[in-house]
Amino acid sequence: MNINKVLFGFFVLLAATLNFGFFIGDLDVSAHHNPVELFAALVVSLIVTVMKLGERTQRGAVILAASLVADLQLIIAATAWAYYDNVGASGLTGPEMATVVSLSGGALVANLVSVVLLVIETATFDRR
Amino acid sequence: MLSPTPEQNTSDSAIFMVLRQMRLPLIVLIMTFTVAVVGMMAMPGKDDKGNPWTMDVFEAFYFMSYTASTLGYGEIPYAFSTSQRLWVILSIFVTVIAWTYAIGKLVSLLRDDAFRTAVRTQRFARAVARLQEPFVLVVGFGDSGRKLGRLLDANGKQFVVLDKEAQRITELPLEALTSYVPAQVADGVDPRELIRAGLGTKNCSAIAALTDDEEANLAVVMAASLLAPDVPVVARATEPIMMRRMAAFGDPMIVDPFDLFGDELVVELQKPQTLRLLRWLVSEPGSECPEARPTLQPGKWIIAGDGHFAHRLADDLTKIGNVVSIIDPNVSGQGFGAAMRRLMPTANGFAAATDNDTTNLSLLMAARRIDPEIYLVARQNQPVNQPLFDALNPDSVLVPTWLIAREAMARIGTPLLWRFIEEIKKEDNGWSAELLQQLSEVDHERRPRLWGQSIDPESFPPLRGWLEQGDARLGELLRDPDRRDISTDVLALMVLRGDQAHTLPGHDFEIQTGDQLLLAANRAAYEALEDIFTVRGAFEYAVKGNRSKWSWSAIS
Repeated sequence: MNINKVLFGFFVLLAATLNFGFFIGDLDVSAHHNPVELFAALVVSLIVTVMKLGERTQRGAVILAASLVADLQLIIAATAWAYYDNVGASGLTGPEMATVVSLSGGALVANLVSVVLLVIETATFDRR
Repeated sequence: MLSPTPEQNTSDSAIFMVLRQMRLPLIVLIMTFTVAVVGMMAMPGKDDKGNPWTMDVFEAFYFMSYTASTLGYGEIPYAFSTSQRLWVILSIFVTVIAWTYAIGKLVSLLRDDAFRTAVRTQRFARAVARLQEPFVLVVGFGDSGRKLGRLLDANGKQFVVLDKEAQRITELPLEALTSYVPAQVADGVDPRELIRAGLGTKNCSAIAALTDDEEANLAVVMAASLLAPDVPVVARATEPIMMRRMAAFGDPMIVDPFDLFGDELVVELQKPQTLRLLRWLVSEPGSECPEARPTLQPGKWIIAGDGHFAHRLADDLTKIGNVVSIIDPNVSGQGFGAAMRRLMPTANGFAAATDNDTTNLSLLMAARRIDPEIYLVARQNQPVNQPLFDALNPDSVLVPTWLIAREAMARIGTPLLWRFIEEIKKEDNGWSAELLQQLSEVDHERRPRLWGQSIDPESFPPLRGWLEQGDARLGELLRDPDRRDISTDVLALMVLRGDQAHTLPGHDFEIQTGDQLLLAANRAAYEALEDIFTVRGAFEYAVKGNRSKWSWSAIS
């Protein structure tokens, strides 16, 4: 058991699960989506990115790319959330909430790609 | 194109190294930030009206951003409660330390020797790859390498430098060269360094291995012959075994300073005008012709020196009919002085040929005191001693390191010129004197521009018709494109046809496809000839006499 691999697998999965937790629920109902969970998903996603910084293998580079996509989507989602909640005239109502959640849905896809790649990596490692 | 082995591809490794090393500090930073933000959100506070209030994620993140980075805008949006302040105290200590750790780590990585070396290597490789013109790869930038560099630069040739010693590379910008020269601290023994320096790329037109270490030169010759078999290589070597080993790899041009010294001295004694001509041809364009020395009849010679060098010199002098005695200044002073006094009265030449300049200078002074008329030859080892040798003014000063540079320049600078030099060596003193006279008329006693021009209809189609109709005379090419009844100041030194060299062809020489011309001209004539070989109108008018529709003269 390699502690680095455990940690990395933990964070990749956690990023995906937190992201999923935030995403699940009716798209435009703000009661179904906890902003703290969005924040947590963003933080974990950033950690995954940092853990893959300077990666030189092909698969590691793809995971890095996927987590960069997730970061980007989540940062935009969080920014949108903060904007609508504090600045926007209408507050965080249906359509605005839908925007935030669908952005996090995009990030979820990227996080799922990371998970799939992680699983492939594990599977091919076992075969050797 | 060759590339250094994949894992050694440093083009990205420097930045990757930094990124990998930054993983831990960044994770620490993110974690502490997160904890601080979450804690901030949990702390109960009051708004301006006294209602219970807690920060949301955005406000907490905003507050921690300016607090952790020590900007400190204050308690926004409402004055904090005591529990919030307690948490802020804790957060400040932790997050400020995390920031400092991350920034400190980044700065130390950027200042790290390994990182800076990697960046330098990367920059060097990129600079070499960006060179758009053919270049000479000079390995070893000692006295000969530097002199060769100066000659190449003065003749408008690009070069790239590798040397093991960092000081020589850092001193390169002091050379005041006209073009940017990529240089790298690297051992030429390592083939990856050679590849990074452009070995094997199509622009690498020649390689000069001029380090003091003959084994290193051999390694360069070897790498060059295996990785870039068609590129000419010049290598410095003095030991026969090294020369034999080098000769086993392709056909490198081996320059031996000991050999060159004797050869030059022999040419100087027998054909001083030829030596003047040779030196002038490989000097910097625009330089003045070196002074002439009188010829010296064979007679008795004294060589003060020891070992290999003195014996090689003695062999060369003996071959042209001299009687040579070698005396060794390192044997006890009295024996040496006695030998000097005994031999001097009958000798007509004295060579101070030790490897120590101070000794050589004192020997020359002693010899001149005994016989002021004697022909003095000096071996100058260090170029920095030039003023001393100039002041003493012996009949001939030979600087082995410069001999190497000149020889290397002649061989790889302009390949046609080297062929011409070989032809010159076959001719006598009078022939050279006459050519010197002609050459000095080309550009007001200055060394004219020399260049090779190939007669190639592929690169300039108008040539084809002219060559096919037969009777294409050299003189027709050398007409002024503005007034074709005048000839430009171009001196054709040689026409190389296949392996056959025709020296000093006249204006009625018949040109054929594939001929290579070696030409000398001043600037104006060079430009005129360039027009003839690139501008159709100029060619039509100057060569054929047609004021064609392409010609500017037809419009005016």
